Amino acid sequence: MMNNCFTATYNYLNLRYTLPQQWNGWSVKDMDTFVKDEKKFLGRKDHIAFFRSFCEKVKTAKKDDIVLTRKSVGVAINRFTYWVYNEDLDRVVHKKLNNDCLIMRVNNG
Amino acid sequence: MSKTITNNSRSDDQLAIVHLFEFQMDKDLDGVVGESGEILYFTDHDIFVTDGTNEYTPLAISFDKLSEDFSMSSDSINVTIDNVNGALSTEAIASEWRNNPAKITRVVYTPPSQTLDGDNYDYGLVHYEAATTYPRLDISSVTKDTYTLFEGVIDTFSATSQALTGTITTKFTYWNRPFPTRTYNQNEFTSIVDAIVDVVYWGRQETV
Repeated sequence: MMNNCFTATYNYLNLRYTLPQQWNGWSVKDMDTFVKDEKKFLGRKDHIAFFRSFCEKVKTAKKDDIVLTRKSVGVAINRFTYWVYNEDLDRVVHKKLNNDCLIMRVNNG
Repeated sequence: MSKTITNNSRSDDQLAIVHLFEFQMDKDLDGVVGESGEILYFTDHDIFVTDGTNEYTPLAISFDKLSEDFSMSSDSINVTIDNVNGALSTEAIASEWRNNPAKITRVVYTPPSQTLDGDNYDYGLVHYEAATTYPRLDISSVTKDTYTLFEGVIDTFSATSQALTGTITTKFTYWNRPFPTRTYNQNEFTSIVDAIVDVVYWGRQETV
């Protein structure tokens, strides 16, 4: 199975919360297709729209909040940092939260 | 506490050192976190460090060497947190750091051997890297020596957009005297002995 930052985040959150299985014509079953069309998905900011459909925007992050940037999706570790899947390294790395990050919290969390 | 490194963590001359920083963001000096208080956990390691209970966030944090002075100056140490982000800046500005307990702990450990992707590392990677978890160093089960490097209260504190700087001062535990950090005037006494035996409270004559 192919991985990118969105699928890594989705799979992680899906174990802990009730997430939509399909959205805007896209289904969880299409994960591989989605990874292939990643640039198109990110370019349309669909990743932000997807999480906005069932999350609320918050100002301060806490563990397991979703951290969105223009080109990535990650998960908050605490108020200061978040982790995101790095495709080049094929592993998760941690980054510092900054003003470019959009933080969302799962409504049913 | 002894600063001697035991043989436990010195096998084969391989050891690693990390520092753990704890800042209690409340007013209690007894080490108990107040209801609204919390403890910020930081480390100067490049990945997260967990001791089984607390998780320390990696930051570019450093501290100067301890300065000791017989001329009534308290033992203190400067701590600098560089390259802060928005959340930390907000926390720094919104909170009262002064007079809060802070602790610096040094952990000396021997990384155990580990195999990752078919490669064996004799002295280990310790942290586990996977697609679903962020890299973390778990020191709870490794051979290690832990001692408190410095423990005190935050005296002065300043924040800029680039860095946070604070001075941690010892709590004068053995002096058994009130210790108002911001009104302390070293000119009141000419020697440490005077300060200990004098009945003058800090900043005023004792009236009781």
